[in-house]
Amino acid sequence: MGMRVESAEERLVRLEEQVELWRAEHDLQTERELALRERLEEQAAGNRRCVEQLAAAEQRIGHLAKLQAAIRELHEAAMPADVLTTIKEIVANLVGCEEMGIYARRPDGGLTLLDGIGVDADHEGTEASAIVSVPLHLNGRVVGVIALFKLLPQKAGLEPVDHELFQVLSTHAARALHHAGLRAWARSQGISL
Amino acid sequence: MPSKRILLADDSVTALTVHRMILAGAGYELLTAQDGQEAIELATAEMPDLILMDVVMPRKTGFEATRFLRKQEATKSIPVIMITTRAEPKILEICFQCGCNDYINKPVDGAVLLAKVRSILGN
Repeated sequence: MGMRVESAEERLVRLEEQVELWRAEHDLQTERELALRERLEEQAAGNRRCVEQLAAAEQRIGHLAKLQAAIRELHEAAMPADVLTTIKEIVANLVGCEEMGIYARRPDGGLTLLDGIGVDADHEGTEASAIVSVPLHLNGRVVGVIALFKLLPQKAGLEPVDHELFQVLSTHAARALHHAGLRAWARSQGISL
Repeated sequence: MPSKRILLADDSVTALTVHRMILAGAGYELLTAQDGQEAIELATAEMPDLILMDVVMPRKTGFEATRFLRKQEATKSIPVIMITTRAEPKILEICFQCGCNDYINKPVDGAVLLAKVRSILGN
């Protein structure tokens, strides 16, 4: 049985049909590729958002850890010297300050230096050079001040979390000092609290 | 997978508390030392996966403790991140000469701390 020979015209038509099919397939592939690219970009943007949110959440957790640690350590400090050390640690390590003083208010309104970092009697009672002065509140009265004179060189300025720490110090430090003073007095009287 | 163990060495109880809160929340197991000598003893006994070492500490400074650990066969490969108060190049040079792998400046930012720890521990 003889085989029918395809004419040149028929071959051309068949090839054109094949090309059309390939073209349609190519268009479909291109369309799919574009759709995939869009999905990939959307997912990449989503991932970036997640990473940013995670970083922000971790930063916030870090800030909350600072606040919680500050409150806990102030309340756990038993004696006045422990409270003063804790205040210095909070200001030095958590805020990033290298010169600071803790002052008590005298009855005449003056300030007496209780403790500090990198300060001496010259700083006593002078707040003029302080970057920030945190009032120590007790029962509605200002009973002292924490003055920050110099931040660490790498610390560009005060941040919102620092102001939250100042708030913690303002409300908890004076109370912690007061309670530690009472405890010390009780101990000196032979009373165990 | 067992959690990675990190030794925190700092004489400041407040700093230790903050670092412990941040790292424990991220699933790390923590050991703490309050001076350089205690850090050496704990590192030798417990072989942590990473040490966060403060520079200024009693008995042995962070520099001295890191130098000592680097000379011991058992502890020479434990990564050390130094926590520095000063960020001057001179201080950082000493950190690296002692053999520390990285450093973090005070005040420590929680997100930076976690990023550096993860980059070294790979998790």
